[in-house]
Amino acid sequence: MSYFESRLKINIDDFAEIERKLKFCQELRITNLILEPKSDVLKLNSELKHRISKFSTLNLYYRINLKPKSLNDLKKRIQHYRNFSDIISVESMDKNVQIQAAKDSRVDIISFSDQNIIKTISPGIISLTKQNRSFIEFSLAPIMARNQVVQSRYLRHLYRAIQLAVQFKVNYIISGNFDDLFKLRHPRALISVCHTLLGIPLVSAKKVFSENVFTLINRVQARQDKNIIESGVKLLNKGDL
Amino acid sequence: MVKKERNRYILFKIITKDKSDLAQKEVLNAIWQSIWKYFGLREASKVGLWLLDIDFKEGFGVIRCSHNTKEIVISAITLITEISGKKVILSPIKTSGTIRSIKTLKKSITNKG
Repeated sequence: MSYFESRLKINIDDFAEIERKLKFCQELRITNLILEPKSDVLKLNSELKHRISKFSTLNLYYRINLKPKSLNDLKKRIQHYRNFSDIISVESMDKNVQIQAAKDSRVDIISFSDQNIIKTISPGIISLTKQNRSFIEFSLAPIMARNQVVQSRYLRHLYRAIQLAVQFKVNYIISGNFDDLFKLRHPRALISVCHTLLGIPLVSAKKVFSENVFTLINRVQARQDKNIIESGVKLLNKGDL
Repeated sequence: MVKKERNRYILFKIITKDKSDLAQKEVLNAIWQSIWKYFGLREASKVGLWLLDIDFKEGFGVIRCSHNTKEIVISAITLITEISGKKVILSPIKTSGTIRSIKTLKKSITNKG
């Protein structure tokens, strides 16, 4: 199974930039990519996706990242995403928002990508995420910071958060989430970084970048299937057996 | 009985805005500095790093290291963001136990363009 770059931000109004980013990913030999619009877009229409897919031969998937300001804001914004075809992630420093997002089955990922947000991770959130079979996301972007104090501090936070996730056996993914093209790296290279600097066993690190992301995509696709009532329960038509 | 140390050959791609500006010595120094910075003397002494080939025109390089420290070397080259003030990516493509397969792969990639 090939590896995924689970988060690449794109400006959907600038197709030249999108093309440049996708070509760059191709040059880096990345094969699977999850794109996220930078601006607050409600949904990505199929026409736009079709236009983007023409730029490269990469396997492209999409996600919408919500950054709600309050609990009410989350409840209001999440209403639009029933049986949504793309991945939904929620990123917030507010503990109440995190708890609500972890409980909500429409949310696929609780993101702890930011340097300040990663400090707020707690066993409670992880436990709720596990119950809902959703995913926790960490990001490697801040470890490319030039400031060594920031870099080492973030590594420490990331190490603690990952150890917590491993302890609770929750599903988690690690994304690059690099804004600068020259900081973008192939997921296999990031696996080595996770293994050597964060102490994740090589097999687990590979799983985080491939199998876990694949499970996440399957979860989103299963949502579209009307025959799947809940996880593990599927209505079979005549002749399916 | 002490086991003989095996080698690993790593093919990496060099992506930079202007490849002609880089020198072989600068790349090697940057790799060593990165190993030192992130893994220290203890690991650096085990690495056995050797820059076998570097082709700035095609944008490829081959390094040799001990098989035990393969992941350390890949991490170190991944974490390099700048060489002599120029933004650069050293992206590992393939690791192999023989130099022949690395050369074959490099040839097939460069022929494809």
